[in-house]
Amino acid sequence: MEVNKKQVCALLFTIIPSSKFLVLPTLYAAYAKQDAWFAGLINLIADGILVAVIVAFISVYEGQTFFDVLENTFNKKVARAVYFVYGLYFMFKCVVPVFEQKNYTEIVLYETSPTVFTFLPFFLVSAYMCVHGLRPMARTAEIVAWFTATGLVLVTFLSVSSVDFLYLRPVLKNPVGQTLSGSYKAMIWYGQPLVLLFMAGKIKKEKHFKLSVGITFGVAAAIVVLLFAFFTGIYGDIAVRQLYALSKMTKYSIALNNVGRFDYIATLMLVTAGVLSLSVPLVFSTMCFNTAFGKGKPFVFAIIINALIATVLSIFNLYFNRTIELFENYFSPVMLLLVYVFPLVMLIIGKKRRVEKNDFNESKLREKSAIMREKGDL
Amino acid sequence: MNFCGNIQKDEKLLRRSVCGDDIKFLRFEISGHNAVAVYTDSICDKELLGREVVNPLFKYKGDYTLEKLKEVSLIAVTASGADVKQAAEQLLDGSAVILADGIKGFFAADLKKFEVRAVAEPPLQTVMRGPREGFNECIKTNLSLMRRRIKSPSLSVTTLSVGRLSKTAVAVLYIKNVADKKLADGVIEKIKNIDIDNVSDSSYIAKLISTHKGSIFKMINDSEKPDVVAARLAEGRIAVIVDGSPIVLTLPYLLIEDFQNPEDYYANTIRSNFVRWIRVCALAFSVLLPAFYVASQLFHLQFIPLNFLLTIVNSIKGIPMSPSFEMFFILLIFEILNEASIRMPKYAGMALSIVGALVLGDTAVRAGIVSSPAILIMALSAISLYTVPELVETMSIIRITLLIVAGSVGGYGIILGIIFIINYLCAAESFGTPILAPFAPLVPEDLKDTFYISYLSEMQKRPRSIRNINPRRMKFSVGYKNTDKP
Repeated sequence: MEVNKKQVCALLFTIIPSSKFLVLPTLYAAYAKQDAWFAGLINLIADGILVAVIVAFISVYEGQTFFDVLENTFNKKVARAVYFVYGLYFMFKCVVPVFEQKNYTEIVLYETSPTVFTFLPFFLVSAYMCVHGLRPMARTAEIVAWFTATGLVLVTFLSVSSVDFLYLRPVLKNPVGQTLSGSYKAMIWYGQPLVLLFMAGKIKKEKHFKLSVGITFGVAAAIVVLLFAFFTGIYGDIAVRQLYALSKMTKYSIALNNVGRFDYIATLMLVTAGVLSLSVPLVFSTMCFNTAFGKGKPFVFAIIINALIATVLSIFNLYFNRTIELFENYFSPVMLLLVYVFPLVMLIIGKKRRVEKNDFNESKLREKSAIMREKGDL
Repeated sequence: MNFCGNIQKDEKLLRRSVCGDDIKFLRFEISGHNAVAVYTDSICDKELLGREVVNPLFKYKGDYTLEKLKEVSLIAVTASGADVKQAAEQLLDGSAVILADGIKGFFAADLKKFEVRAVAEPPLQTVMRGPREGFNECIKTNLSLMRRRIKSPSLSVTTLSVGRLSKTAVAVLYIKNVADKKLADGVIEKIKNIDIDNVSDSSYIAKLISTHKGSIFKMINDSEKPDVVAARLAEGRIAVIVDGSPIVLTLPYLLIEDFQNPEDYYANTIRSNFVRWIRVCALAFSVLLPAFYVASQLFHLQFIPLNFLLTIVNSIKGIPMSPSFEMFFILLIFEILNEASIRMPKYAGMALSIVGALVLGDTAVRAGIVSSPAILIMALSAISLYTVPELVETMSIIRITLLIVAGSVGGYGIILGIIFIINYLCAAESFGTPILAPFAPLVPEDLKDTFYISYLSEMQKRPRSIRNINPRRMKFSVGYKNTDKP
């Protein structure tokens, strides 16, 4: 087995919060205003259901990879085609976060040389991780999870004193339709737990797996919702104009500013987690393409995928808003299908098969006992 | 080719197989038959040869057979037979070969006598408290040091010979009821498969059996101290002693081992914890400080507190070099000084210190070539690195790489570099053991001896990160209980 329970939890804990504090809080503020946290909660509930579905999937198809399941349910060609589609999905999935983090890096971290080339070395590191695959990535997550935890604790600690909690009241003041609309638009920032589906069959069987994954997701989700609330609580009506929330939330811890932007330590820790978080879809994209094309060399796919995203980033450097719009309009429905519907369908198929198998075994047993009774053995 | 039993012909055969003026032939008689003792003058104990081998044989009047002659000799027989090549090998290994007229064969008496350095305090792993003895270049001495520390019949010692020309003796040690036998067998097999002409040092073996040959991090650890090697063997590791080398290899290797100084276990636990944290922080300082200093100056001025920024601005005024080039220049000078101080004869060391500290440091600042903060950062980084001497080579390369990255890409580059190193380490395994264990994969039980050192009485189990077949190292009843009151 390639990964263990702790590594799965660490990976989940790292990828869930790390990409959600750059542009997303502003988007929520635009649609849901002071109910931004609620819009986030809706998305996280959807992701929670996804986690439950995938954990159930892992349990139903115990010991089988997603590819094995597809192959057994349909055939090898279909399985490969599905993996190819998911390979594309993971590749596109990282486009918006990559743009986001590049802009964040340029605008917030760099005062003197805002150039796309500052960000391009990311793809070298990402390609390296893609080549090494799942196990080193999961182990890396075990280390980076500490950075994530420390970063989140520091951000919470440094921003809590600046939050105007009264601004968040009354709860659900904003029209629900608008809040839901915000949740739908924000969908492209979610769906990270899907990676668990591609880890099926590669996770060491351990006690309390479901509980551990559930608790990890719950904790990560709670922190995310809390920080969304903090962000809108700090900036109120002008939150919609505050891009890159991560650097803005801790800004008012004035006493600490006397020793420099101390809060950037937290920011840098979360950026570290962000680097891993950005690489995760690319690693899974490489894995999917590698499987779809019959276990070739991951090196080739890693290079192609990373080069492609780097090229897209360089060419469309100035069109971040357009890119987000494009993804909101066209990628969200695809995502809905691939992330939330398809795994559920596969789970239902699996459960149905299991019931049929049990019925078949039961009827066989009944037949056998009837024969034995006839013979007088029973 | 075999001996024929004619002493003159056999002598000629041996002369033809082994050339060298230091091969001596001592002729004598056994029960009226001509005999000869052949030995290598420089590596054989002649006094012992005369007293314990030749004299008893000369006085012997019994049955004249090879078996009986072997019994008469008072020294252990290392080999016997009729093969000339085998006799020559024994001769070159320090044994004395006895040939007798009418006997179609030889026997070799173990009379090796090499000049060896005395057991002394090792130069690299010095301690203020704890055992001070270190290995020397003689495998026999080193094995005796190990036997003295582990008096268990479970200590397995397998001796091999490596090197077509050097025929270097290599001993593989492990504790049978603790270490994983499969791993030990695998190591022995790997050493057996080495086909090389000469083995000068244990590092040759380390490089040849290493699992990741191109790795910047070592995959096999080493030690100069028998107490350290004994402790590692007791944890389930395997040790490799190579004749001619005072450095003993131990494997599998975990990165955390380099932070574990032997003194940590001999000194007060609280003090040890404090010192270990200092070591960890110093290493992080050493590697990251120059890079962060350069990145902050070039790209992230907001990171630096205002007063400190003003100090830096004042001191870099008029410096002709960019911050990254300035730091790189100082680092390069430090590396040159470091290399020169190791290679330079001791009597020239003082001159080097003066040139390094005064001429290059003070004068460079006065001349306005480099700034004082840069010198300060570099000095702090250089000193800090030596808190973990085992990682100096690796970390100095990482330091310079991160400096280049920081100078060209800035803080984000440093973050990318850190992630790259973590992933690189996560992918590395030393003989099936992840070198980043017990952090990745996380083994909570093993965290007791990492950045935090638990009381000795609480470390009742062997580390799970190292494959072993016997997890318990201490009986619960033996340990001190926290509830016990004085």
